[in-house]
Amino acid sequence: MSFTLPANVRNFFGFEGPRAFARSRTAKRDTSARFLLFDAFYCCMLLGLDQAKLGDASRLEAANFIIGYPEAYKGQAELIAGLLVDAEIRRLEIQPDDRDDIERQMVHLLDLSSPSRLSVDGDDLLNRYAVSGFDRLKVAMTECDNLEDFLVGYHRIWTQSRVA
Amino acid sequence: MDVRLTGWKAKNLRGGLRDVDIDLGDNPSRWTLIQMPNGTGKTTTMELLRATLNGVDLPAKTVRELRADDHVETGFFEARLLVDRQPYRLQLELDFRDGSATPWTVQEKERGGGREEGRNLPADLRTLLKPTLTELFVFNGELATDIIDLTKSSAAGAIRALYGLDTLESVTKRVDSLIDLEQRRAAAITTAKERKGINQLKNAFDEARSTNARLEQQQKSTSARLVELEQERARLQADIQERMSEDAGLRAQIEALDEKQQEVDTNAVDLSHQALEALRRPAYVHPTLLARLQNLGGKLYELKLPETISREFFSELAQQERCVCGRPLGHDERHEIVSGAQRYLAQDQISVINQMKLALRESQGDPDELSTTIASLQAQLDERRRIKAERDRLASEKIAEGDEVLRKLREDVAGLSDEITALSGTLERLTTKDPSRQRALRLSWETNQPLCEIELKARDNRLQTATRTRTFSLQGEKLKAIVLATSRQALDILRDRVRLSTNDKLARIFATEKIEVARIGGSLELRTAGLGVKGGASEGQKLAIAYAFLTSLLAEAPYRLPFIVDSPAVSLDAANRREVGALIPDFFNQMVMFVISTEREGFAEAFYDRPSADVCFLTVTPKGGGSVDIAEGLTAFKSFHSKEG
Amino acid sequence: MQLDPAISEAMDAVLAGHPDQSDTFQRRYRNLVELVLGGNYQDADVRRVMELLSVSLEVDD
Repeated sequence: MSFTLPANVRNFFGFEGPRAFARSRTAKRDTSARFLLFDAFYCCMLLGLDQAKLGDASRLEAANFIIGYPEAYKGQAELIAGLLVDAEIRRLEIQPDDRDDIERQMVHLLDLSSPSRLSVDGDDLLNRYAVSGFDRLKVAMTECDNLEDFLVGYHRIWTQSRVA
Repeated sequence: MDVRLTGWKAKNLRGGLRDVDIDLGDNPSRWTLIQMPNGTGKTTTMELLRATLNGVDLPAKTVRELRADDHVETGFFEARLLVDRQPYRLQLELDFRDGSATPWTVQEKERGGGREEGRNLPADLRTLLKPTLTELFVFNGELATDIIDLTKSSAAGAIRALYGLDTLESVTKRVDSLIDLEQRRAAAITTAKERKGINQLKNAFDEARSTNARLEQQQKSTSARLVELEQERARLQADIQERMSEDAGLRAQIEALDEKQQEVDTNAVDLSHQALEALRRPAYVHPTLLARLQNLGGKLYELKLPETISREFFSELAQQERCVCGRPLGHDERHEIVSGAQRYLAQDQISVINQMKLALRESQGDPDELSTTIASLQAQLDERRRIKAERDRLASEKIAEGDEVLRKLREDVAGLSDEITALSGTLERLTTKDPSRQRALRLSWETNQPLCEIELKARDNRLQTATRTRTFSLQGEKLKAIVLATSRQALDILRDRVRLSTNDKLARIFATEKIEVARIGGSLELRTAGLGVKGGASEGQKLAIAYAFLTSLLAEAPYRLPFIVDSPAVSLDAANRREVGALIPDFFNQMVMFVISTEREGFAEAFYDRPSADVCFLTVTPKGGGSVDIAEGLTAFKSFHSKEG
Repeated sequence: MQLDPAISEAMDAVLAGHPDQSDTFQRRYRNLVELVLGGNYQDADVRRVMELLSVSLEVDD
């Protein structure tokens, strides 16, 4: 439920307070889409889940930046939970027909009462996946000073490097 | 407050105090003369009266020396008082074995009262009755000469004691301890106690403040310059546009480019909106993700996860009479069911997996949607670059044709852009609040304004704390000075008042040689009226003066105390005795005088003619074995013969 | 316990020498002296009177 940013993510995306890409003096701020802190987290997280590698918990910021999903992501909780389960199955090399083990993993990761649908352990894992995803992001692209360049660059990471 | 002595009692004490009870009645006579030969416990009585009154602990040695004989283990002394007509009995219980003296107080009231441990007098009286004061009214005749003796400072000491000036001055100790406490508290934040330390802190604070002002100023001027530069650049760019469009042929091209630019910018914004929206749905990010989601969903179905039967089902079943298959359920069966149920998932665990399963099954995504959008966005960005390149090309052509103005304009714009970039960097260094940026740019409080503000606050805090402490300490010094000045001033006023009052009485005593008090310094300094310093006065004169002083002191004090005196005139010759005996008794509200038989002549005789209602004559005769006989009345008093000459 | 006139007089004289101090201080000081002489005071009373004094912090070297 408590999402925490990896250290230096704010810097990378040029956040000044809640505003991303703020260092750019040429962006048309009024009309361009609003890129959230959570978007930054999510982008990193997806990359980390994709490579099924956990990052170091010590490289997270000291406090969470949000509790629960923002409005824009409200419908995606179950799918993100699903991606987490999938990543864990791959990371732990659980056999595809090992019913009990898969069931055990899901029980460990999921929590009906949580708005993120994840248990505390599940939340922690997402944060750590965000750390490893951010590492991958930094290697793959340089800092952008505007949203458009970032979107194009980010998408390229997915199309160019395919992890099985 | 009016205090009178109404009697005392002694038991098991040495001298004539094995079993003595002197009762002066509820309304004691103005003057009581007690004829007590030496050895009948006069001195001890006086000592014990003082001890009960001033509450000072008696040393064990003293207590043991009071023991009547080896047969008694405990002793007792009691002083009876009337304080504003309220009776109090101050008692001392003496234990000769351990040498302890325990004070007790009995307050006889109509309701309540009773005996309590301790010396429980009214608070202000209790504070007042200190040893220096009790010595004055439980009076040893020899003190009289001390009062006049210049080498001792009893006179001023007496005034100070009686009027509470010592107590007042003790406030200075409280002030010191308050200041000390404050300084220790502040030491946690800063240790600058001394003035120099505060200066350092003030300098440090000023330094931070002027740095802050400087940084603020820099920020303002940098911002202003930046705006200026940007405006200028915009102007130059407009000039460039204009220049280009002056050329009719170029104008059309430029207008076309501008239109294109608008379109591209709008498209780019729309496309980035779209792309971000798609990105926020995992199923749309990339086909791989969609595949994984669908895969997982499929697997859950395949493996028949979750169970449809929950743990709760079995718990409920276990509570039924019969199983679903119809068989009756006994104790063993129930137990088996419940323990077997642990294998199954709880209902809410099943639900959450089901929810996920549902979402996975319904997850769809057009794998190409995002790619298409991004591609379009990319195209717009490319177009934007192309438009810029086109503009540049047109400008270069014109310059190549010899348009120096245009070339210069573009040069200037480039120069300005560089300057703007540099200034932006400067501004960022001055203003960034982001800690990771501050670290990355190696900023300190001297170069970054937000950090400077923090430093300024910290220095201010330290200065304030030290200043508060110093202020408090100065306030303390001032209060002490005021208190001491008050005490000194009061002493002067009182000294003068007592002096005048004393001289008033002396004028009535000394018919012939008019001695008066010139000054009350530490002691009474005498002079002969109209002449110089009076050197040695006669014994009688000294006593009279001392008594006149004591009366003036005690009579006008906030408290009326009884005057209890031992051998008031023993050192005087007969003539002087008469003098003293005639005059001083009028000065006191209540006097209790212990006399020995030799003082009868001259001194005690002065009382024979006074109204009998006002005088009480008691004669104490030792009977042997430590007990005494107490006779009341003038006859017994007069006829007493002692072994003393 | 009434204050002896000598004490009141002394306070008048001393306080006259401190005209810069507030009326509140003067009032509370007199009250403090009365309480002290009656044995009826505590440190907090002393502290409060102290805090009413105006002093100057000369910060010279």
